[in-house]
Amino acid sequence: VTLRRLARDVVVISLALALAVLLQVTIAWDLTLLGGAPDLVCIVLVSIALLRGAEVGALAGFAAGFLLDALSGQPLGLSSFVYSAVGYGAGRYGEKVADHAPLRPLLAVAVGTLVSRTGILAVGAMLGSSASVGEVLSIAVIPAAMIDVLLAIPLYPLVRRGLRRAPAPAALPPTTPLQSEQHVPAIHA
Amino acid sequence: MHGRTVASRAAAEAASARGLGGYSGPSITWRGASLSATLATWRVLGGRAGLNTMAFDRVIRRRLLLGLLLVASLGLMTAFFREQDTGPLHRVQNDVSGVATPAESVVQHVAQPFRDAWNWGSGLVNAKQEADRLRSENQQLEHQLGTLLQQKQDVAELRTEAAFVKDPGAALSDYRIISADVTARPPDLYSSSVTIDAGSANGVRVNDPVTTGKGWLVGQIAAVTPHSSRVRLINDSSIEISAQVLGETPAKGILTPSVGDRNMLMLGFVLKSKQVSNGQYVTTTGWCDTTRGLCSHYPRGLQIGLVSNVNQTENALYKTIQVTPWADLSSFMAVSVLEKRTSGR
Repeated sequence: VTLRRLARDVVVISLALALAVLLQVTIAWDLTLLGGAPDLVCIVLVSIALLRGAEVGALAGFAAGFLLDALSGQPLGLSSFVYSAVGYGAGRYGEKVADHAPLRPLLAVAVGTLVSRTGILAVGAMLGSSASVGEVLSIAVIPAAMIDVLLAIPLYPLVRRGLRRAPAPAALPPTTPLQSEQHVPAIHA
Repeated sequence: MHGRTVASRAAAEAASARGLGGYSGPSITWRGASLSATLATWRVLGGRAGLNTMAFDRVIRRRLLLGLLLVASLGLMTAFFREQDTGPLHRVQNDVSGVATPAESVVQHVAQPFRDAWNWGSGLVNAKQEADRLRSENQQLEHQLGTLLQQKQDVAELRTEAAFVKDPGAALSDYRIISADVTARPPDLYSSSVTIDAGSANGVRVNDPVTTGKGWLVGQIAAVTPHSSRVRLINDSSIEISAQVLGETPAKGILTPSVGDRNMLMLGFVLKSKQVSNGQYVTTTGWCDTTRGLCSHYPRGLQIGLVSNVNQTENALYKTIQVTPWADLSSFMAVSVLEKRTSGR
């Protein structure tokens, strides 16, 4: 990766997240279906994390969460906390699953939505939110995950095209001497 | 030989540079050199300890990054809640929100048609659920309406009954009135009776007259238990009541049920000389033979019904008078039992 491409990634990721946050706070929360609303930020974040790895996912999650909290009037750090973890988890998943088959991103988006919604509700409840966690969970989370999966079908390829998909991030190298030996057995021979 | 081995290892590690480099994408080139390959070579030359240290560093680094982000988020939340509304974080939030307001406005305008379309579509999706909910609600309301109508009818009936109980008239001054509800109305082709929830414990006795509404006669007590009684209705085939048609010269006779029509009564043994016409009132006679010590179970003047037809033939000795009872014998629900006051009770 050249520095130029790195800069391009930063720009694309920033624009995508900013646009997602903007659409989220302006229209997405009003587009309820079966009690659930789409989470565009989560879809874009999971897509980025799948394509660029855990570190980028965590950083993007933090930034997107901060922006979302700032624009929506929520306590700063609430969404950052959850989206950082979601971005990191999605990135780790993307590193382990090199084969980005069509269903894998959708599965990641569904799980990411469930985790993010549940996490935000849980943290909000700990901070004294008046929303009934059980009621919101039972009514809103599942439909939201379904809507996000549907929206991810066009959005994930869009993000991948914007990032000009690089090879999937590799898994971590072995960490023990024994594993290192096994990693290059033919060299000694 | 040893140098070749090291170089080969370096090449192999460079081939899998992504496993060693900090960046997980393709290898980074800087000034024409492969940064990852250089790093890999350097690490391999540095020995196995250096390789594992760098890999371990990467694990630590990415976990450290996540930990830092989470701690930063928690710190933001804590600081946000601890500071006042004029604090720096609140100001940052307001500034960011202010900067984004024009963009939000533009997006709102652009998105309005799409939002309307979405709401229209989601409304269609929710329409079936809404219809089911309204249908269920309609059923509940209909059930409540039926209950309310029934209660309204019961209240009207009870009000009439209460007015009678409150002022039964001078003719019933010797009677104590015991109010009761009909608890059972068994269908029976050969007899006509109802069960009420007052019994001997309430002072009810066999042969006590039973009225409903404004004192309309409906029957007499046929059997008594401590807490319930069976009322034989005036359209029962076994009942006979001495009654009279009110007029200038009362026409007395015996009231029996009409054969074939349970809602009609027949007043027999009325002399042909008596003038009777439709619409005249029929009440109980309430006779009492003091010489023999026999008295009717019914007090004098209890309302029974109206004359609805008068029949008289040349050969018959008596008139045949059809009487329509005031009370609807198939539906009344509240009754008053007339218990004659005696010196012993």
